Amino acid sequence: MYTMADYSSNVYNVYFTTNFRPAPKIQFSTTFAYNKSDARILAVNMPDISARVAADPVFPGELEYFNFEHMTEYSDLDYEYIQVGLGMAYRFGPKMQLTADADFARLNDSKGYVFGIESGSLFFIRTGIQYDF
Amino acid sequence: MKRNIIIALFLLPAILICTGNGPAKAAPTHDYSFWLGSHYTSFEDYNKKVGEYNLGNDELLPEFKGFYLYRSDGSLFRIDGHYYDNKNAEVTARGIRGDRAGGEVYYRSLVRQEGQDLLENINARERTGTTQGGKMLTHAVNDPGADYNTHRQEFGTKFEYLLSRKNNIKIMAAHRSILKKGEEQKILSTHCFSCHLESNTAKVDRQTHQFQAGIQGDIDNYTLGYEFGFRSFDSKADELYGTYDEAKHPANGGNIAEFSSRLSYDDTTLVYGVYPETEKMSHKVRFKGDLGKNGRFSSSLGYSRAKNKRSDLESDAWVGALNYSVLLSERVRLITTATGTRLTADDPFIDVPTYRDGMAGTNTSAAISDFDFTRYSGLDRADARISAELIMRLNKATTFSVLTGFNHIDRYDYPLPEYHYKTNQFYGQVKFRFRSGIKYNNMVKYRLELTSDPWRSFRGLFESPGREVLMPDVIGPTLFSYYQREKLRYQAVTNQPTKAHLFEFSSTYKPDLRHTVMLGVKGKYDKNDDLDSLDVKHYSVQPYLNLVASPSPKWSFVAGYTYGYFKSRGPVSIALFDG
Repeated sequence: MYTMADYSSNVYNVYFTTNFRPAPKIQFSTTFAYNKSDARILAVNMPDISARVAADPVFPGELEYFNFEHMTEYSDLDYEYIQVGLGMAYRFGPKMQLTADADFARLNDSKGYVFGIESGSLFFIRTGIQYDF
Repeated sequence: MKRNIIIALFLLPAILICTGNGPAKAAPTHDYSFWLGSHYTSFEDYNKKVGEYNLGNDELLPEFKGFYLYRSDGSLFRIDGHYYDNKNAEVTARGIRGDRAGGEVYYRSLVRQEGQDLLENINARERTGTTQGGKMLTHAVNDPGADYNTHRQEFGTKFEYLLSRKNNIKIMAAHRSILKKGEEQKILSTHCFSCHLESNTAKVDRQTHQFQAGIQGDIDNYTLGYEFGFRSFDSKADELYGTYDEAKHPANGGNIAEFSSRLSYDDTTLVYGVYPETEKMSHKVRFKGDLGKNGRFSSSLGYSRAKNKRSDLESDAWVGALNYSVLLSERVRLITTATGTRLTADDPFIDVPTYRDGMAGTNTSAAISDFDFTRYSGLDRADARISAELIMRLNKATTFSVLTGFNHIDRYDYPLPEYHYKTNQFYGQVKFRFRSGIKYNNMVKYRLELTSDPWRSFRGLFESPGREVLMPDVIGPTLFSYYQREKLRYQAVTNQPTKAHLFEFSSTYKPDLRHTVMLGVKGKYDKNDDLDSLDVKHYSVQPYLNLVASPSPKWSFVAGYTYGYFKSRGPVSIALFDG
């Protein structure tokens, strides 16, 4: 048994990155990204089978219990992802510089997929020293 | 394996330095850079999606990057490397020795976390009247909370050497290996086709190896080349066993013999989720050169044979291509292409146990008890494609092009043996491009695709209400049978369109060297007009806007926005299972 149905999805993405060097020795950078995606099956109007149920010679009375009211929710997806990053580099001299950066990312999963709700956050910090020979 | 990479990295510069007679040497230069640091990662809540490629958790780990560049007259050698953690690292070494030799060695490693399908949407049970019936769909996750991840390592080498400047004779060789190790989820479908699903953890140990070698040379205005290729894939992981339930009535546990007689196997433990072990060998000849006063052509002919050593199945492919480009006038160029593919694959015979063998009431007719069949390959086909494009420069700023083409696919033994299912597609495209120095660059394109008989899954859809005859049309036992359900399928189904409209516009505005604005939109609408009871169509639109600016030497920024809207209309089908 089948019917025709519409499936739609939306994907939004906004991003922004900057680099700022206020002085020759120091540099800052920032990144920002926002993604949102959702998908769903629109109305599913299964054919009315009630007239056939009584006429079914093999399993009379069984088909009437098919229920499709939650069917449109099976494929609902709704993700939101935000990522923010900050970076800095400070040059001690012509050959050496200190770098530091940090990232934060958050995924909000409103509907869940077969893996369950996948909402989560990531924190990341990195520091180091670069030497140019 | 890592040791081999390190050896190769040291061998490459030695080979290049010792190779051939390079130009006179100037004082070489060396540039080094080294970064040493550490990183800390932590997660909150579910980490497999947001940290898909990051294994660290509440850990401070060392990290380093390195760079080395050697330059002299005609020679160059460069190494870039980055160690993130013991599963994420990459290093590449490239070298050039004049026009005589060049090569590359690389190693890449990453880890990927994978989620676990909880199978929670696999739950169904029929109702009979006001009580629950016996037919049900259930699941069991035998490894709850399993931590699946795979470690992917890839390493490769590429080398090219000029044997003789006379006739420009070159040889090349390349190698690539991909290794994947870890654990993954494998789902076993047991009992009666779809009644019970089980999830287990499987080891991953897959290896892909690829090797290519070739030679090419020039004869007058023509270039002739030959290339040999070999590719293999195998899984070295331990076999995974799954237990198939004892066949019986799911509600009352009875009728064991009856249910068992309908299945190929039950109440046993068998290997499942087996990967193929494949090998593919290919040969390709290339020929290109000048044709006529203003024309150039390139052509190739290839043959490949692939074999699944585990199932002893083979496939053969012949592929030919011919491209011809000619300048018809100072402002008009014609580009034509033609390709042909002939693909054939073995058709395995599937030996199925006799249906309800020895059971009372069995109709001994072979038509309803012997379901042995030949699985005709869906790969068998001939594929031919031709196209012609005329590109005209209307004036200094404007280019106009017209493209048209025709594709033909002839599928053998589909939908039935000895049948041919043929798909023809015609397409046409017009494109305008307007450029004014570096300030404006605009493009607009429209394409129309008309397809007759796109691919369909024949008898792929169950009955719709309103079909006059609901009962299986096979005469046989009075008991309902699983195979009889397949007879209820009657509707060919497809999601492929017969008509498609594609539109694209892009514009770049660059008022000066410090600012750039890019905007555009892509759109597509397609539908299938040939289906009797289905309504299949797709619509998408994807606008975008990007800004790049460097207002001063001190700062710069890049910003952008993209949006995609996708809508499809197609059949939603309910699988009615009924023993």
